[in-house]
Amino acid sequence: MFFPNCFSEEEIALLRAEAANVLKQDRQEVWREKTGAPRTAFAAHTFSEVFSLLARHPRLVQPLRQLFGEDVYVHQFKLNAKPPSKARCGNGIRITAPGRATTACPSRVR
Amino acid sequence: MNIAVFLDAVMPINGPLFLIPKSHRQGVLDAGHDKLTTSYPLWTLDNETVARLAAQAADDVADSVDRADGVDRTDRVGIVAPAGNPGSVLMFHGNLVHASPPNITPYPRKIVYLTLCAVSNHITKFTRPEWIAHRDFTPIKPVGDDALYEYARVHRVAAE
Repeated sequence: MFFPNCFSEEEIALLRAEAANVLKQDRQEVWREKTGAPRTAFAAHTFSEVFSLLARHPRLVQPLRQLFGEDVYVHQFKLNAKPPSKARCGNGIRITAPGRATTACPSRVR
Repeated sequence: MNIAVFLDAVMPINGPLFLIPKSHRQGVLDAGHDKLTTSYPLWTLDNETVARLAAQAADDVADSVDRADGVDRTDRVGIVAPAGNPGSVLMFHGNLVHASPPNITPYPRKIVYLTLCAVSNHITKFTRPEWIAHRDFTPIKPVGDDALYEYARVHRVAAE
């Protein structure tokens, strides 16, 4: 099920600002890439008031209560940063001709 | 049920989530655990299983579309990558096969993944840390629909 623009720009601005706060914290729930870039913050709803509101938000909870016909609980919460990263070889994608892209060494790109 | 809340625009280029439609109907599939590719352990399916599920999903799409307009199509693809503005929400069954490629663009792709589970279906084996697979099965009491606006309003006032 896909709900376009379920949250407004103002609500998302708040969530983004809070995401930045959470991802810079040094704690076991915040996992980092080898480069130190934050990758995933688990359980942010337990230590961030903004994300605790999101985890209890009716626009997320009510559709599932309707679907299951019963109450729901939070099994997992994670903020997945997927930050921009370089491809792992050379300059990564190399444009060879208009409209055609190739990777320098595809087997090593991940 | 998994819920993805897009905090950034999710585009075809910045590591969108891939889904194989209807693959949740296969139940729980045998998966390996890849601890090498990223800093985060990944559940992985073998290529043959992914190919089989994608082919099946492609057939399902072709069936439904062909029935609708009578045109024969044989080039359907059985993997989708929903894109959308920040604030868009995607909900999908916990058994739906999904994955995402790396993000090699300068554009961030932050998504909140919230997994909500029916209380009657709570986990009974505790194999992961509490902060990854929660053990508090208390039913969620929803906040008001304006809770985020209200928080922003109160804290903006407090900051001034």
